[in-house]
Amino acid sequence: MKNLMMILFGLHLTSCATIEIYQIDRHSIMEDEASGEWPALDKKFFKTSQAKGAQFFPKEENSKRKQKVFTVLNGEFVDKSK
Amino acid sequence: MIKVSHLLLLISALLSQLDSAQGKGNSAPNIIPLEKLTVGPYDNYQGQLSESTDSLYFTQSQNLSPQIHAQPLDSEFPKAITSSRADAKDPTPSKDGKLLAFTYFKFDSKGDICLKSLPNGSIKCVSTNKTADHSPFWINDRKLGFLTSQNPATPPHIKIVNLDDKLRRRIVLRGVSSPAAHPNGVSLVYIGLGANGRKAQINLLSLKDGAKPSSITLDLPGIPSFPKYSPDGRYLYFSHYLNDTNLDQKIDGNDNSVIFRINAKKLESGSSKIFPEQLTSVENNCSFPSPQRDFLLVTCSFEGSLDLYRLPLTGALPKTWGIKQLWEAHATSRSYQDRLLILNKIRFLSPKHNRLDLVQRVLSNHIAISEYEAATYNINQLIKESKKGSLKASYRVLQIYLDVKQARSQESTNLLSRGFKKFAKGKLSKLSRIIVNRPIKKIIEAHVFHLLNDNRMAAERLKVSGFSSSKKLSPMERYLAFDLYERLYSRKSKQSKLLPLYKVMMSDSQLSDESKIHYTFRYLSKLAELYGTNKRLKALERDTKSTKYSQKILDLIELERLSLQLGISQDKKNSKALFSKLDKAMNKSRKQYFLRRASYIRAILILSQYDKLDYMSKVASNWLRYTNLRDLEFHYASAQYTYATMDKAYGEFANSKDRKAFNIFYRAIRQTDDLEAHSGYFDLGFKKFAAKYSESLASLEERDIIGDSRDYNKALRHTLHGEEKRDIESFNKAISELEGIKGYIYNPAMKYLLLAYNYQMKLQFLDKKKVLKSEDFKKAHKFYMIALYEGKDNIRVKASILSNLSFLHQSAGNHSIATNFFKKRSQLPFVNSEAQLAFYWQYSRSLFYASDYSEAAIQSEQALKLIKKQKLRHYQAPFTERSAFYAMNAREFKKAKKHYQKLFRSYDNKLKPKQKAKAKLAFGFTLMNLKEKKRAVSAFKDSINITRTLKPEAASKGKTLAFHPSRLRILAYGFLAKLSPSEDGKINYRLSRIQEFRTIMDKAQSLGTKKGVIQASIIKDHNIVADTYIKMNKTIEGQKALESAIMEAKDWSENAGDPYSIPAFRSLVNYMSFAVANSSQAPKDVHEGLESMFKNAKTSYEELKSPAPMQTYQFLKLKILWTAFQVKQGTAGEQGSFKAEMAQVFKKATVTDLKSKMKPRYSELISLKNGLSNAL
Repeated sequence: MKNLMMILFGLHLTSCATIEIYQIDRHSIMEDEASGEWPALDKKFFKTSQAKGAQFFPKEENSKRKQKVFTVLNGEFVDKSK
Repeated sequence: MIKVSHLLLLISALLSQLDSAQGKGNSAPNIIPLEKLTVGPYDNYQGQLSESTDSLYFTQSQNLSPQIHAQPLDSEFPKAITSSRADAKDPTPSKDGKLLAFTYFKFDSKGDICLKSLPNGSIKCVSTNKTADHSPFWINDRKLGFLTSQNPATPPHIKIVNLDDKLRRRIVLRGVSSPAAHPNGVSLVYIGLGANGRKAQINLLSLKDGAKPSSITLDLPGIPSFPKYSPDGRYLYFSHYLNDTNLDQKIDGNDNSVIFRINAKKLESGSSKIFPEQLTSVENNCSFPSPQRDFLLVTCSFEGSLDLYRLPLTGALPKTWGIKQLWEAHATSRSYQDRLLILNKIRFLSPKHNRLDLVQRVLSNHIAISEYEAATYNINQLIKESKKGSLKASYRVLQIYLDVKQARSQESTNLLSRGFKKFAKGKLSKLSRIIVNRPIKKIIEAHVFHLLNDNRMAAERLKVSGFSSSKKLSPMERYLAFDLYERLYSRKSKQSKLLPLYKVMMSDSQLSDESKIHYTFRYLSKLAELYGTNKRLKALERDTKSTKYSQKILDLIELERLSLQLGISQDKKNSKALFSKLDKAMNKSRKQYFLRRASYIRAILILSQYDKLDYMSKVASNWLRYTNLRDLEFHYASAQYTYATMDKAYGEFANSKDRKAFNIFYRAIRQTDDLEAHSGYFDLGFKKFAAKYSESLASLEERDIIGDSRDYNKALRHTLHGEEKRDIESFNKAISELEGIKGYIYNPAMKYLLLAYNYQMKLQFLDKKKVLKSEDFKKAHKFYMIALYEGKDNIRVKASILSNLSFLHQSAGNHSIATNFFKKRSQLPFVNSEAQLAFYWQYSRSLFYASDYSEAAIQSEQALKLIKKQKLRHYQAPFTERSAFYAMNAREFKKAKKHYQKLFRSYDNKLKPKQKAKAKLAFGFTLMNLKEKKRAVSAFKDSINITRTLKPEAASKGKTLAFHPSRLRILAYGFLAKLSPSEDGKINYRLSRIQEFRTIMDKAQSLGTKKGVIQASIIKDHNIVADTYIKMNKTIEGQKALESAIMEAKDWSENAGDPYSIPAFRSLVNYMSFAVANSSQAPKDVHEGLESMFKNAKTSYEELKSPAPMQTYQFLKLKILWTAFQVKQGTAGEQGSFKAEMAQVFKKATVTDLKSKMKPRYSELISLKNGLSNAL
């Protein structure tokens, strides 16, 4: 009877499959369950992160457009002795 | 004197005329920019327009999977017209617009040619699925050609199919690719091997039987591709790879491409070598030309992504430009690539005029941008056409330089390969055999030694080249010798050695004025870099007295000296006097373009550097004033003014001098009407100087000084109102103002940025789940992408656009796209630490959502470092918690533990109970993974205790999910059950968990789950509890737990439907196995539940027409157990009937199928059956 028990039983109970508990995306759930909420900071950063105009950088370093406008190209080399 | 502001009005008027004359253009007279038609982030290419349906068809590649999209010209957005389950490319609409031919991989991985009836008809394929077919092209509306081969590796041939009578014609051509038909349908053009069989060329073929192809020889280096006739057949357009731009030692489709066209008459005339008309610059990297009736459709690469663009049929140079204007554009151009475009146009328009001069000019530009193949082509032309033997020999020497340079560019490190060394030495030996009595030989020897890393020999050879002596060197020799000196003295400590060498260049009478001014400009910049102000002034003073320079050079040096004196002057009166002098001197140079340009640029840079903003502004205004509106320099002059002023305004703002910044923005508005200045002025004005802002803006409007930017200003006000009042109508009003701007505006990127921003703001009123599919989201994305293109080199605007785009996609749940934009944004600076922290906060979150946990942890750590460096203590707690959370997800548990410990140690008082409960739960999980079981148990228990003080919270607009403390307890109990050393403990935690599940059952949806899913978890827990009891030999309790599982499973399966899904199937199997093995009697309700579930399973199986082996296995297992269960319960038959029934069951064909396909499963069932037969 014990052998039959093993055939019948051991196979199934221990191998109960993992069941996804939630339906919406996994990351939202993970964040919601285990990451602290910082609504004030979220709100503040929401505002800081979006801009309707240009960023107020003091200097436009290494900008290609600036380099292009302020550049003085070399002349071309034409040998008149051809 | 005309006021500059009035000039601006004039510009607007002038430009609107130019717009109508040139079709498009939103800047001062200049090279016509490409107009973007599609937007990323995916690659869009192979664009074709169907004029009869007014729709654009193109291939869009998302994650390496190409699909065909259609975009009606009056619509904003493309739609996929092929299934996302199969790749598709090469869209080609028929002329009548009824059919779309394309290459489809749905039915054949090698590719078929298929036809779709437009707009929404079915798909039929015309090629067989035994061959690799691609590149369809229409000969007429009923005749279609394409390339076909046995497999993708074998050479293809052309097949032409008549769609009416299905007749097929086969044309075999050597190396054929990119075929296209002439619009009259009587001939083909394609790329194929030419007569010599080596190089790909454009070929023409009449479709008459027996016709032979003829090759077109182009007077161009490189290889052509994608030829296509204009709809009227007058021009043949094609793209061409001129150079190995990606340095892989071959010119191919991976290099930068340029669009050309040829007048079809030239093709017919059989000209020996055709010099085509260049239409785009190599900088734009455009390909797949598709000429339409009114414009040219091309695919160009911008920042690594492909999109469709539109240009006039005549290309990027305005068709109104004659030779004079082209030379003017050449003089004012700011890149060697633009110059090449212009020179080639001049060559095209006047092919015989000064041909050798033009080729030499072209060669100079190719060398300046290291385009070695193209330069080689020009050198060969010069060798062939130069009359003087010494000149021919000089060019041969130059060719050696190019060969070695090119070979060196392939070396990946400074440690040279043996192959390269051998090659370079061979070239040195070849060089020694060329007889030429010119310094170029020594100079090139020096270069080769330098490329061989032998700088000592290089310097020695240069010394004897005569560079510094009175010897006459040709301009090219001077250039090459100086270029090498610059390389040899590139270290900061050696750079002062360059100063006397600059002077040689500045005084060489063989060099053009343009070159001498170029070297003087660089000399002055180098002086500024190396010397302090006094030393620099003294050096300039000495230089002004030198007799070896021409007057122009002396003037430029003197202007530099005056600008510098004015820059350092502290005395107002003295400054005024100096400016007066400077102004006079500059006035003198007005008619000498190169001198004027160099002196103004230097003065603007110096005065800006020394903070002499008023004077800088005056100089810039004069520069603008003296630059004729029709003058091509005007575009650059106004840009210079803008850059200098903007730098200043932003700089003042950074130094907290807001009023100064405000005034500078105002001045910039008056001078240029730049939208960026308007935006800055508005930002500061509204926040700090509201009265002054309104007054001055009204005045500008009253005096009609600002143009369409008034609408931009209105839009800014609406936007702000919308933000403050959370009023969607205000955003709509702003959009309406911005979409109404049709005329010329300076800095259009700002308009598109604001437009996209308003669409993005509207999204906050939308349910989060609907954001991604909303029109407002698509429009926001589209306008940001256009803004990104328009403002491509303006980092201030680009930074805003990339931030907004990142956030836009984050809010729509497009996290992998968001992370791409965040990554691009990370390469630009931030206004302040807070902005940078906001960036890290958002970026790490998107990375987390995109499952890149390690990078999320890294970015969050970066934030912590910044917080520490800048001592921003109030951000410490949230970023510590986030860093811990991301580290935990990245399975960096030690790091996570460290952060959590710090959080509880240092910021415990800052954590609210809910934050703390979650952090404790995550901390417990971290410890559990570190095998610190006791501490983990304690953390989980802490978390559970804290949750007792928490109350459920409903979902809200900003928070999609509701909160219920039971959810945290469910997790904590689960972990505690796992960690519990005693079986009783495990059971108790599971039972507590089941209790918690029952608490949230009716709130499932608001918590982001479903009742059925919660029930499935309960069933699983009951089964585990039963298993634990049975292992403890507590069979009565075990049976009770199994009964609970069955009753829950019955209810669950009535709702969920599928009797074979895991909870139902396992519960059935477990209960029946237990009951049979223990001879235990099932209560009535449980028995009924089992019967009902089994009957469902049976019906469901019997309804299957041809069950899969796995389905047979599952059903058989239930059948065996159910039959045995019934015998045991005494509700049906006895042992004999079990055997007989089983014998019947195992005879069935489905069982034979199971036996052959799933042997182990079959064997398992046989053991079960036999075991039960014996046991019953």
